[in-house]
Amino acid sequence: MNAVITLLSIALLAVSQPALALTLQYQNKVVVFSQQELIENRNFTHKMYGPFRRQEVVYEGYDLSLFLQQNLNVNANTVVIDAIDGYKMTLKNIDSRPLMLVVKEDSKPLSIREHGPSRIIETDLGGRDVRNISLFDDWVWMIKKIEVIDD
Amino acid sequence: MTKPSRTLSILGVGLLSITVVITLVLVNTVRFDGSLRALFNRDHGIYDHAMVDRSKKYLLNVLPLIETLNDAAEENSLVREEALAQFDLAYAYLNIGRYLERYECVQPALDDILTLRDDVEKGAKRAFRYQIWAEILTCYDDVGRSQDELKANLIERALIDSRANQFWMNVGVISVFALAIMLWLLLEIQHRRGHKSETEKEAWQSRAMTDHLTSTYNRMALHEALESLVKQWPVANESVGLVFYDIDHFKQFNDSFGHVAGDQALRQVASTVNKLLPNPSNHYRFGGEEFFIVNRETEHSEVVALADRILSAVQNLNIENPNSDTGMLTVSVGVYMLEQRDYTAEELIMKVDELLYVAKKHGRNRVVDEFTGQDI
Repeated sequence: MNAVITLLSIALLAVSQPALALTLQYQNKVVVFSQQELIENRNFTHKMYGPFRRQEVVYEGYDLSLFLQQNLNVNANTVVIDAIDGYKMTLKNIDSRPLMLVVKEDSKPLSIREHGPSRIIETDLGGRDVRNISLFDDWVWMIKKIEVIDD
Repeated sequence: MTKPSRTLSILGVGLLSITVVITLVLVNTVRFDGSLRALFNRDHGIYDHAMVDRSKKYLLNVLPLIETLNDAAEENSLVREEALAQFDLAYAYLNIGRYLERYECVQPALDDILTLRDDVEKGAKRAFRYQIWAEILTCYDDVGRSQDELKANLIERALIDSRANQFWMNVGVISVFALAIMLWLLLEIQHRRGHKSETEKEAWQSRAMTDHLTSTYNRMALHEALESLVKQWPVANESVGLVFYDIDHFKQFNDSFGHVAGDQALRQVASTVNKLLPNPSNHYRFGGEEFFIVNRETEHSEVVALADRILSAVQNLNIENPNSDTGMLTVSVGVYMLEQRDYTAEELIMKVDELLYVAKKHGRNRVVDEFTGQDI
């Protein structure tokens, strides 16, 4: 039993390494950022009501499209996102949507406990009912990897 | 102005009603469907009630890892890291604004998770903290139960809203149908009024154009017919013949037998001639005992033949007229075929009247046309 748990732990940690880092990938090109790098180079700030926080929040990070363009030299349209908790989803039309990669919230770096180390949000709530958090499905938490794919 | 088609009006109203009803049904369905989607949206399965469940699952994942750490003779940092990661995930899925705002137990539960995490991080081997675990698990149950109740309330509210929607949709549908029926009734009334007015107008026009004694058209109708004819003439490429006939010695007939017999004779002659007329020909009473016939699309020989038949038919009526050479009522007839030049209505009457005069002058009871007129 102990051996199984140990192996499982090793495997889980291997998948999630390096801890609290973000990997970008487009075809063969792979770029890895530490959380420190992401925090230091942040260049976009946005203040708005956070449905998951139930209050006004100052978000700091990057415009997602520009961030991918600058680091992968691609005008991304569709991305596949992997999260630390094993969640995986595909986001489409990201070049025409107001998406932001958040690394700090109210001046504090995001840890897993605050749904970090990085998170995607939409900077326009689009008239949605903020009380209904199931309407914010595209706010992906605990992002580990973003891979740009061709349509 | 063209009169609107009755069938089209009814069809229009029917289609309008159906369109409005379908639109109402669709709008209500979409609205209800939208509110249900918002309630039951589970596309990604991680929100609302699911989040507290996931937090619980991650926390329970820690238990075998702690057991492994406690049982191990040596430090196993990988298992410890994994246990800490599971604590963090448990914390993250409970650290939701909605839970913190709504449930008092959530903040203490989060603090408890950190306390347990701290124990594992420090590596202290200590007795199982039953009290703390119980507090956290109880909080999970409370939140889950409350979320279920909340969901049930929302569903109940949605159903109540849907019943209200259904009621107003029924009211809307009935109103639309009532409106459509009213509209149809108004159109029907308007149509019937229009039809009645049209019928009355036609009857009035017919009376105004008809000679009441002989039931032929009257002089006013003749004038209008000739005016219409000369307007089109000679552009209209057709053969038109005019016949003008007059009962011979009719004044003396009236003097001998009285006006009642005279009227009777006029009716008999007009009726007999009517039966001889081909289509399209119209029969007019010019005045007194004079009658006019306009034959359209008829050749010269046909018109002359008609005039001859009129002559014979009237004589064959065998109406006694002592002043006539034959002893019977006879007529004189003038026939004129229109030539390819401009005319006035008066000129046409004058032309055929001249030929009738020739027939009268040369013994009556005969047909005279332009050609025979020149020979006489």
